[in-house]
Amino acid sequence: MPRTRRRLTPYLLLLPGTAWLVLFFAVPMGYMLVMSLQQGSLSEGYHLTWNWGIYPDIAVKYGNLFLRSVSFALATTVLTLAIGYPMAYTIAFYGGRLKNALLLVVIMPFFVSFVIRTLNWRMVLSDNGLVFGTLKDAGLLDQSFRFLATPASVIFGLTYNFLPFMVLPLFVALEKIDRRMIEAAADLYASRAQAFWRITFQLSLPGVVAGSLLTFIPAVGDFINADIIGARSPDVAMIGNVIQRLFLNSNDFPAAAALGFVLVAGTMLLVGVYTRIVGTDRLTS
Amino acid sequence: MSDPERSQIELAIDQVFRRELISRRTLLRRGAKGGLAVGAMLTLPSLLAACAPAKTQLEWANWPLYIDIDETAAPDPTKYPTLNAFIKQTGIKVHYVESINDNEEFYGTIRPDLAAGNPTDWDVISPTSWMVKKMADLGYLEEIDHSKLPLWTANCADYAKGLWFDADNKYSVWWQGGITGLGYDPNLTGREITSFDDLFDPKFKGRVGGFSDMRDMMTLTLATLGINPTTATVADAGKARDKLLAAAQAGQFRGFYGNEYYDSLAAGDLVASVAWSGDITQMQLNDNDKVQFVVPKDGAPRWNDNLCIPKKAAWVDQAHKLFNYWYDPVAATTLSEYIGYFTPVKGVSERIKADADSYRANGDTEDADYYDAVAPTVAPTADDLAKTFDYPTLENPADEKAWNDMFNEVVTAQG
Amino acid sequence: MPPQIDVRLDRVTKRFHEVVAVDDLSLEIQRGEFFSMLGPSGCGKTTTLRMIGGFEEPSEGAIYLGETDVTGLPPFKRDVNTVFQNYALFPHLTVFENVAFGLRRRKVATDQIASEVTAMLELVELPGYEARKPSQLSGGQQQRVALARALINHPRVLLLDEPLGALDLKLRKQMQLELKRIQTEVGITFIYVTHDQEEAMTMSDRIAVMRAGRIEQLGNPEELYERPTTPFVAGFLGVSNLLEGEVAGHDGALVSIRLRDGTVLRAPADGVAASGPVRVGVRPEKLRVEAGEAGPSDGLNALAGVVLDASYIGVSTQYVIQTADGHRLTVYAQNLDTAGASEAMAGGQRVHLTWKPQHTFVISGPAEHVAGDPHLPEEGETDV
Repeated sequence: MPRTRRRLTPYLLLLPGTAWLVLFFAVPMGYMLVMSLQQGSLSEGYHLTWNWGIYPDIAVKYGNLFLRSVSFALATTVLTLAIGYPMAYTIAFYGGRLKNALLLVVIMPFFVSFVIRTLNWRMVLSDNGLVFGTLKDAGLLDQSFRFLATPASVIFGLTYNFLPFMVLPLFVALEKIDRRMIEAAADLYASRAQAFWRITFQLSLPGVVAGSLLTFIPAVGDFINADIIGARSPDVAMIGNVIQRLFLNSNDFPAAAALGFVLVAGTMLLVGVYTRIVGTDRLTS
Repeated sequence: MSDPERSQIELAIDQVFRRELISRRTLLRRGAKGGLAVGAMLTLPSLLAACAPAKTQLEWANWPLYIDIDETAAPDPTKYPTLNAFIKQTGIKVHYVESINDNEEFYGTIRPDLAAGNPTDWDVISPTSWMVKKMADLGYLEEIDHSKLPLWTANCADYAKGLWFDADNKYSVWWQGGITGLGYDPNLTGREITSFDDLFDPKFKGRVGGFSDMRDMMTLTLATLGINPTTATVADAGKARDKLLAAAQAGQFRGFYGNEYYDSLAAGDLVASVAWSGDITQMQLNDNDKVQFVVPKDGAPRWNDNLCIPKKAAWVDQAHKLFNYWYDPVAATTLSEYIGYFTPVKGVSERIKADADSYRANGDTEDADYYDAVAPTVAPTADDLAKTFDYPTLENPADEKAWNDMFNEVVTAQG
Repeated sequence: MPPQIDVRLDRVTKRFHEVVAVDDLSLEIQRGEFFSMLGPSGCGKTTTLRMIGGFEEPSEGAIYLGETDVTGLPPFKRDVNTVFQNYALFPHLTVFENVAFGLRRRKVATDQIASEVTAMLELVELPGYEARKPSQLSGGQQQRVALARALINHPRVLLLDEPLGALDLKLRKQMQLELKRIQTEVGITFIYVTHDQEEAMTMSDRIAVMRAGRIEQLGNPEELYERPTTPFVAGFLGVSNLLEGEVAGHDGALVSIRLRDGTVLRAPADGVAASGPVRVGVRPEKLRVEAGEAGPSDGLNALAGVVLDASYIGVSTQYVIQTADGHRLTVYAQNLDTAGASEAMAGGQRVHLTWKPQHTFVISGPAEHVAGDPHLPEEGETDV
């Protein structure tokens, strides 16, 4: 008996994780899929009619919005990486005794609700607000200039809100790097730029991959930034906004479920391709 | 009440405000901007009711932020002074639950019981006009005995009875109502705005606010096309969609807002926007006195929510007492001073004015000014009534889905 | 032909904030030499090495590679390479790419890189390991890769920072021999930092014993061992017995030193002052211990004493002998004639010790009580 138990132990240890995945991922996904294939109305009830036709329908109707969401999320990922990498690098390599304080500053915005932070940006960036109002009064900007409710403003909001998700894993990865590795590269005739690119950056790739995923995945499904900073402008509507609208305003549960299913499945597919390209061992090494 | 915006955002904002910024004016403003609540609360009373062996209280489902609250008791939301006065007066205990976020959604929770001929968990519900008609037609509402409603008979304003969805008030009496019109800052538009069509002026490109509410937007648009929105067909809706979509794709609308339009309009980010009447009164008093409210000349949506008794309710008699109570001008005045919608009770406006005068007599000019401004807004003018329509009925779910789908194209500018 | 100087340090000082890690150090290292810097943790040896490598800049003084002043140059512009403590192999690159790293940076042709890497892996006896990642190698193999990665660049000088510190004893012994073989084979100047005196003695042509940022004594292993000039060096390189006394007089090549109890010992006179307090030292293995009172001296130094403790350790027996004036001396007696523990002399036995004057060394100056070396915190140096 003990031998049997020993053989079973690894599987038993996997059980909580598996149960978690099944309960909070597989079951909801299955439920969404089933919901998406139903027809009816909220008041009259929905019935499963295996309406697979909804998928080509939403592809035609909302294909552009998927593309927009992905491109907003990609732009956000690239921007957070471009801004976050120097931040994480500076804190990890030159933070010294201030390291923890600086990290605290990075995550400080998290102490305030996501929504409130975003609302405040809307106030600061409004057409005649603190920033643009001042610039307009100074004659540096045309009176008709506006930033809110434009794609750039939504990407700005996403970048601002998800920056810590990029900085933290980057910091962890950079912090782990043995400085002698960089000295060794310098010793072997690598210039500072070469040492950075060949060694530091390569060794920080797990952080880059983790940060990109932690940024891209929530960004692609985000709706709050388009809602608040984007003022629900049709130019910035992301797929999350449509899902929200279909669920809560139109009560069109099947279409919302279908979009949700495609969003999750599509995101997983993109992430799968990405990790296949960069290698999953980057996440674990 | 209009089909409100109920995004998670607003829930969050609301929670924050409820905790931190509670004051009569913000509350009133908030109340005027539509309801918000947590849908998950729906099941709680039903569970409780299922367990309860004997009925001890009247169950009333209403929209959030639709009743006066004792501010000193905040954040405890169960302190309803006017309602408590009723309880004290009659000995009828009322369990007031803010559980309606959406007509369809709420109806979905009680439909199975009604269809099976069982009592629901509620004694009083507050559906919007078209939902009253839908439920009445299906026989899901108890008839109202007007002999038990002397105050209704004596005090109900003409505009609040005998409406299209329930011509003889057989199944419903008014709770509160309002108009969705236009707000604008003449200094920014540089001209007077009289029609919804004025918002399509290319000069205002990107600085005009629409609503994300389908019924409001389609009603406003259909009216400009000379189509009666209340009776409009799917084909009519298509014409409205085309007009709105073209404007959306051209970038005319800065966005399709929920309650947030208020801040953008007050800040001048929007030169003109679809707006709720009570909001603009508040804006003039508190945030931006240049912004004007106008009921567009082609027509605008007029909406109201009602008090009804679902079929097989246990406390029908007690419900009647409650209905009658809200038609007491004293109770109605307190309620209106607090939430600021159209009241169905005659003379409330005058009473608010009288209150303003007594505040002034006591030297409280701030409150006096406030009530003076609120007084004329709690009842529609004859002109308001002439220019407003009821919402599209959309009794058929398939029609409603078609309208929703069309409007979704507009808000995403995809078509 | 005068020896060619490969590395020269000219009055180099390095301060970290207020702590002086290297203190006014001057040093010349010859071409092809295996040069070790030996000392306890915090003595400044690693800092000195890092300044030669270009990882630290001296606060004062200059560093020359050959005739060139390289003081301000970054590491990648210096013709030196380093084998780091714990190797600092690039974990994301294969063995081949690790070794080829320096050549690639210098834009060496691809086919040449391939042949040089192969040759170098053969030199360090790791042929066929090209495709492995460092994590797939044992400690000793990683050490060889680190060596190959540095050597392939044919630097003027190879710097080694405690390269064997992470290996177990047996492997360390084996690698010591191997390092020496490779050094002889490639003929490159090695500067080797260690805190292990045996390791330094085994491999080095010359050793600088360092303490508190200064060189305490510099010389070949034999000089350092046989004729230490400071108690620190005497103590750091093996066990030594030190006896306090005073110079009594010179007698040709020898000098007489009178101990406190009047015993006179003789030692080589080189560099010993004409008078004054000194300490006389002798290594434990140079002493002969015999039972009974001292016999005829016939030119040997002799001391009487009592056995305090005797431990039989197979190859030798280790005695602690107390002399009349209270000094305790350690003696390693080869078990040439004794057949086992039972034949060793027991505690309390009166004995006499004899040794050759030539095996005696003299440390000038009065006795100072050095309980241990003051441990200076030295940034950048970690002794594992």
